[in-house]
Amino acid sequence: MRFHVFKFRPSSHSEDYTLIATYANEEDAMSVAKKLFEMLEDMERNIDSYDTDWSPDDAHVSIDGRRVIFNVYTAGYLSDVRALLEKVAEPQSLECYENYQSLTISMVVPKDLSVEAAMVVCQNEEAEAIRWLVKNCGQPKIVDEKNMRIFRWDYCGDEIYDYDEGILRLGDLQFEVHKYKNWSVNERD
Amino acid sequence: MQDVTSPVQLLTAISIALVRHLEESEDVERIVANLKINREKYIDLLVQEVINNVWLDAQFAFPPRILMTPDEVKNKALQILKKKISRDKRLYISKQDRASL
Repeated sequence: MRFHVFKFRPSSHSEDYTLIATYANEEDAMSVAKKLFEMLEDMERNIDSYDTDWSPDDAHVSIDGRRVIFNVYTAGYLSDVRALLEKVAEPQSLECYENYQSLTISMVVPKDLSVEAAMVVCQNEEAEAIRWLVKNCGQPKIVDEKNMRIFRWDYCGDEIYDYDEGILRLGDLQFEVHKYKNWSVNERD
Repeated sequence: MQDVTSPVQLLTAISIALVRHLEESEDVERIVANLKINREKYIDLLVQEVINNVWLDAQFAFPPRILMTPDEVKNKALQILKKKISRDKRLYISKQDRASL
């Protein structure tokens, strides 16, 4: 017997939560998503059966291949959803994000410059940012255009980019993207 | 619940009681028949759900600050379990099958 407390312990303030469950095949993902919709309907009729602070109308369910994505604004009341994601079919992974972001982070460098060389020739902050991105997102996609090269990292996970301030929070580093003309951050489609 | 002296002991005792209850439940068989996970895994998940719901109550079932007695926490857990089983019956057993029970 094992039990895990605190996993989705409700807190005193609400956040935009995203649960992403990945299944072995698309068929499983489809049946899980179908059940999630049924659960949202059931919630409307039997709200007392659920441990929740959100309305089913405010929840979003989507499928992306083998992934089922559930999103809602809550103070952490996700246990019913999480249980369903794990019961209908066994997920290969189940991740929970607060203020989920899916971003493309781009850096323009002179043509032929490698990632390793960029870390040496760029300013300290930039080098630290590259190091964090390589560690957390992997090697960038490299796009060569005329006399320049673009490093592109795809990021999915907890919120790291403050759109208002133009700051990327990469671990301990507060990287002020807006100060660098060769850097940009865009939301992925 | 008399021998229980800490939140961890209380949650463990509740988990054991819930598992016993679920292992004797025919509803579990019917629910699991419509899922892709096995009976053990289903019971494990359901117990986790209930424990998450009473975790905080268990913290305040012992001195210095008692808001609920250990027995009350256990009873609450059993009530929550019943609600969750009802929910799962609605979600995972078809209306036809439910009607024929």
